[in-house]
Amino acid sequence: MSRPARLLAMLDAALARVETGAAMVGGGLAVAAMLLTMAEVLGRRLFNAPVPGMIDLFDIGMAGMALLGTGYCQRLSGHIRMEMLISRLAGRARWVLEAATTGGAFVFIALIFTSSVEHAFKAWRLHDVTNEVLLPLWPSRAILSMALLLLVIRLGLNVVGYLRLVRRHTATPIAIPIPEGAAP
Amino acid sequence: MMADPLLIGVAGALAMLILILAGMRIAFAAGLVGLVGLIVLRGFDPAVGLGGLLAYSEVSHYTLSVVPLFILIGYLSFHAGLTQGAFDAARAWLGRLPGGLAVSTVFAAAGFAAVSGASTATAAVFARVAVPEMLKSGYSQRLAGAVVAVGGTLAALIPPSAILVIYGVLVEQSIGALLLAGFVPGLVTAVVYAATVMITVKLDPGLAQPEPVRSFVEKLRALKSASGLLAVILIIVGGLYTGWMTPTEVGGVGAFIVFVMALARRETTRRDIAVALIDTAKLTAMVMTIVFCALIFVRFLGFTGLPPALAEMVAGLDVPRLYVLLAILGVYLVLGMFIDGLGMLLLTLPVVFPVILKLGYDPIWFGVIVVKMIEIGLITPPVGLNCFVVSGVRPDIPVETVFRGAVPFVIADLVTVGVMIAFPDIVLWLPGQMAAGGE
Repeated sequence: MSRPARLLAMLDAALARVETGAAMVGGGLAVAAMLLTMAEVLGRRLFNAPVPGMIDLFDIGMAGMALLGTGYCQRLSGHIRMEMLISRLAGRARWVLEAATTGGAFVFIALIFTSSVEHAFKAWRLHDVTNEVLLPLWPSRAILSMALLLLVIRLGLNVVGYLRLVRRHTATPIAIPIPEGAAP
Repeated sequence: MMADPLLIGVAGALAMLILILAGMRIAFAAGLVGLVGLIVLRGFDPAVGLGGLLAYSEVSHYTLSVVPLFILIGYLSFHAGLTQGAFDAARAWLGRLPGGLAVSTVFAAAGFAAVSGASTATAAVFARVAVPEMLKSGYSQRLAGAVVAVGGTLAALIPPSAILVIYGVLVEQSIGALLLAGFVPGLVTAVVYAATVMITVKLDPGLAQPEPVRSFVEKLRALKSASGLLAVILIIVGGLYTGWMTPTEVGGVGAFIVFVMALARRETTRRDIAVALIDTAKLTAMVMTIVFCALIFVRFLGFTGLPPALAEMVAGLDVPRLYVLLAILGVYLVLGMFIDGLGMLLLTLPVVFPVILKLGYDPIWFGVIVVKMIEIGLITPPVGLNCFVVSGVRPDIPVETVFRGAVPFVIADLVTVGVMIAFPDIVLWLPGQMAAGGE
């Protein structure tokens, strides 16, 4: 393996670890949501004592729950697409097309990411808070930005991985999305 | 001078279609086209600002929190032994019918569908649980594979259904009403599938072998193994129906019970739970990425004025509304053969939904019909995902065999859709009974 290829593989593996950690946090937030709803239902229905700021907590937690796994999902080719045509292409033609469409995705998410960072700063500066118990909103927006950042870096690595294959289409693929088995 | 916004809208829709055909991930294709379209119509800074705003606001709704919770239930329930329990119980009670094991698979899948919202996950689980048992009992690969693939589609109708939630979010309809609306059509579909199994086995007895007789005590014991599943079903459907809990609360309480059941089983390892959590985050992210990207695209289309213009045009056609509906469903049938269900919803709804409203069809009813069409797409070639999943889990069963076996079920499904069009009350009766206050 050449030096740049080794570097790419190393970056890929390092990012994978961060992505898995982020996905784990996302799943953990879902469990937290589960416990919170359980507490709310028991409290409100049985003891007439609702959890204060329940909806606020969801507003805060949802962004992380929703998107912390998005980079992980891209690494494992989990974002759905139509493979009917592209799977018929082989060699360089396929890698060119993959690089182009992934490049488009990279540009799109990069723009959304920069905008989300601005919104997070704005929420921080303006002391933006939730409706009921006035929790600060910026951490939740910052988490969304982090999730998008992971996705941007992942897409960037994917583009590099594809471009490498465009140059040498017989090389062993590195840093491109590889689907998991059909396990549920 | 700027081009006509309508024209920009049409160009955007075409561009997205081309990108999707080129293999771009559906979420990113929709988001990119939507963002570029907004830049053309509104300028760079406002468009990008709006994009970042939508990415946050559209995924952080309380309503959407049902999605991760339902997904969590689906991933945990395998470890909680709910699938095996459902299959054992159905087998004990229904095994003596013609094609009894296949009929049992249909009803066990229906039961499992009541805790799982994802069609392909259900097919994958039953490919592990039910296919080996059927093959051991001398069932043909064709019937065994197909019945698992079609049984999986029940998950998208019987609540909780992830895809009905997404439909509700995209077209802004009551999630609770939508989820309930899928219940009766889901049951009807299960009965129709069971009948299809029995008819095919009667016509070709070589497909299946009869099961041994079970005593009543054995049957009761089998029922006990399904009690956990029954409890979760009762909470989900009961909670929605009475309006006693919001869909999110139903998801949270259901997930809690399944979580406790999974922890109580000695076989469950810490690793199993960790994998379930990561898988939940992954699938949730897949769905949510599509949601916010789709809504960027929808916002762009809104600015072009294309959807209402198209609705106006279709409504002005001098043909009965049923013909328009059938034409739309025909398009869904064809699209479903090629495109994944979520992608199909996002591609079509921004344009189709205003047309449907303009024609005076009920939005809740249409949601169920569309989901039914999507599910048919999951069992038809060339990209019927459920059939690939079955063949993926069981590489000894070729995917062509599964597709061939699914043909009678596809025909049965089309008849079911026809019946739901003729008698919309099958769909609308239950949500109509729903207590007020349910979200």
